[in-house]
Amino acid sequence: MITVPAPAGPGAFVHPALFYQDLAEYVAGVAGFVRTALSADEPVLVAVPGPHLDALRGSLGADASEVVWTDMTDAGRNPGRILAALQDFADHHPDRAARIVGEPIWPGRTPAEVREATRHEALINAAFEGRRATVLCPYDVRGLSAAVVADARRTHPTVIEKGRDLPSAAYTDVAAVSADCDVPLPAPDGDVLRLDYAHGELSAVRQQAENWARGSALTPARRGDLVLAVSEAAANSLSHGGGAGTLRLWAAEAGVVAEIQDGGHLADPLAGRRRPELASANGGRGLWMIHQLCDLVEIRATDRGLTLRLHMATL
Amino acid sequence: MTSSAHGPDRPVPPLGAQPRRGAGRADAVVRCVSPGSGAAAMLTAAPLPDRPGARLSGDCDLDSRQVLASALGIVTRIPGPVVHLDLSAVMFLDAAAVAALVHASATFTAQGRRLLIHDPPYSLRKVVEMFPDECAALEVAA
Repeated sequence: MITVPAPAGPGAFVHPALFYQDLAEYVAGVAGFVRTALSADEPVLVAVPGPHLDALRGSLGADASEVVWTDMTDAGRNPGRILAALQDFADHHPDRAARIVGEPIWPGRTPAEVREATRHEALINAAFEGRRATVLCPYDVRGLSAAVVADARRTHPTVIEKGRDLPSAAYTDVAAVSADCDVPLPAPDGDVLRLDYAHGELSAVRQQAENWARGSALTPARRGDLVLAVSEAAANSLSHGGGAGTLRLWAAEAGVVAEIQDGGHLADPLAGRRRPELASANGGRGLWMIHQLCDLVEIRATDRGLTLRLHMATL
Repeated sequence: MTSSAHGPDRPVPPLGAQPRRGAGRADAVVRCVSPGSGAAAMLTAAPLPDRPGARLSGDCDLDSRQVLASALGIVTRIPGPVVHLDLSAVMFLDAAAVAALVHASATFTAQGRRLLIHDPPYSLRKVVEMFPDECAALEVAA
């Protein structure tokens, strides 16, 4: 028997982790949650890895057409862009409680992706605080490491496990979890191109990034995306990061990395995690764009400044 | 980790390239380059010889924000039912520059006129793709 989290009352945000052992338990728990929401005429978004989408669609039958489906391995490839998508969906239904299934971590995620996805899970609590919504997060407890499952207990106020929905004793403050995700980034090994920049040099920054990327395996379009992301990051350095910064570029195992360091501070940990207006100018627009453009964005905000490590895959 | 993706003939960065080992990072060969002169990308505007409108040349970003604002201010004062903005010599527009174009376009629409954009670079098309609703008013010539 699977426990489905009770519909939340007005102003109540519910964010349970669903620990499942196998696909049968997964489908029973998630499809049950979806059916409960649909019967209450609530909007449902299911953002999970592709194979799970198929299993859930099959289980829901005709009800499947009432659900918005998203393949998380695509939409959430960069964990930093998931939260904006979830909030987009909730914003789309301002008068009703959004019921969302979000599975941001699956076996095969790299450690760097898991770290940023864990940060994302913590930030969900801040972003949806006071909002009438549910975000149910399934965790494959057999396929994921014990450390990942332990972190899920820290990022979710409640955990559904073996049919019981209980408060998580390990639940931890957003800022503390996010700080724990700020582990030092590994040093690149191999050739690094380094460029220090300041006002008046954005064009040269783009030129160097473009020239360098021409020697990589990126397609012309992805090269354009990289240059756009680097340019927005460098512009943020000038406007919000002390007026100067450093760009480093290097080739990684299956892609390229561009790292931007400056003297900035991430005053709002949710910056860039909500769709901005085109005409906004607070730095969140650039960060949101960077999250959309890149396959992974690692963020390290310390008292020494801000580092954005942008990954673009070539596969 | 390999640098073979670059191949032996990777583009050599211009002016100021200096190989330097271990600068700030362990186990990495760091080549430092200076940004060099940005003069080549300085934004300029010129009237079109054959129809009402202007041709921009250079890059539209934070460094050229005021130049773009001034140029668009002049463009919106060009008379005619359709005013053309040739971007074929613009290598890059950032999101704020696209926002400025959207604003200028709205000014034309409010006057019952059209601003027609020609040959925008990839960055404009990408920003339009990312902000479809706000950029719906932009008219780009096929």
